[in-house]
Amino acid sequence: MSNINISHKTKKKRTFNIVDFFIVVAILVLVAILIYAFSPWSQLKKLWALDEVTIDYTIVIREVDKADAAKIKKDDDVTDSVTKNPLGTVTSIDDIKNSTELTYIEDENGDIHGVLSEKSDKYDITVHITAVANYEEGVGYTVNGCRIAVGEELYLRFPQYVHSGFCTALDPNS
Amino acid sequence: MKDKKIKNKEEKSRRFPKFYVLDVVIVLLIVSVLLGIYFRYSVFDMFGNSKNQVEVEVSFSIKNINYTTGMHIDIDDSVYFKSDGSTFGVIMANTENSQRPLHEFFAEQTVNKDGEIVTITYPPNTRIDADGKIKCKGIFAKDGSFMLNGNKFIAAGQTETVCTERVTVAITITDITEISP
Repeated sequence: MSNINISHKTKKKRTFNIVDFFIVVAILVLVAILIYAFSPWSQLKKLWALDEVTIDYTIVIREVDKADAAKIKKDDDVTDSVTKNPLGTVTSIDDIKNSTELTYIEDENGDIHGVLSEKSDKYDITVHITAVANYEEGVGYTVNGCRIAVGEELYLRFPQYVHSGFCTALDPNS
Repeated sequence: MKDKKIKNKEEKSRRFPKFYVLDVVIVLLIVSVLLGIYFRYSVFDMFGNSKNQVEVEVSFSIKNINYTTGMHIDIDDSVYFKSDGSTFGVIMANTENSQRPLHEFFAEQTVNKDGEIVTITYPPNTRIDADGKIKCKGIFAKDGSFMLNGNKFIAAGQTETVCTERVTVAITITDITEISP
């Protein structure tokens, strides 16, 4: 009788159990992490071997109203309006200038020249910001995940104002 | 006799564990993931293609940028694509006799003057256009097309946003020429 029971037990099929499920999930998660870690824009890659350096960068905010121009002040903390991450502190603001657009004039010889004519109701603000950035050789500078480079458009939030601006200068202080 | 047979079977199963369907599934899953990684990064293709790659200079133009941008680009700056972070090449001197990376011009704009299309230029220290060159490697196919790093198609007329350490800029490729060894 016991021999018959033993033979039944050995023939019993293995059922899928919760341990198998966790093993499969663990393998998939591990593979996903490996792929993500070695992908070009991996955040993990950015955390590896990054030097910290203080940078001064310049942002030009174009075509704002005069009342809004007065809302950006020295020592304002600047954040990324999309991610809410800090982007530095305003160290100085140049005198605001009237926004300009390219128009033409014709001289007495009939030659046409491009000139910048001022708009009476719109202003450009040049803001200088200091921040601690992560530097990666060959890649550049990032402040809390936001790349800072000449030509980049940044979406900025000041305590009393929100607007986008373009970076026109970058000076690392090593 | 029967007991002996059963005992032998049990001993065999201990020495040679049974292979279940789930084990097969797991093995197939791991193999397919590894194959996926291989095809995604084409490791062996990289090694193979690197033997056949030639050095080229990619000429490009930049339109209507702030005049300060050129001050932040240096010769030998690494250039990469903003879209995926892949390497493009390095900035070259603009001409053989020049140590400047960019050849700059005053930016131009067309306007309508009394029904006539006229080109005007920006004043100094405002906006500029520029030309430059990037040194990189790739493979020329038989039809003349060029694959950068053996895996990315680029051609004249294509506009790409590229990055160096300190600049992000949109360039338009104007020419791709092999550099004679």
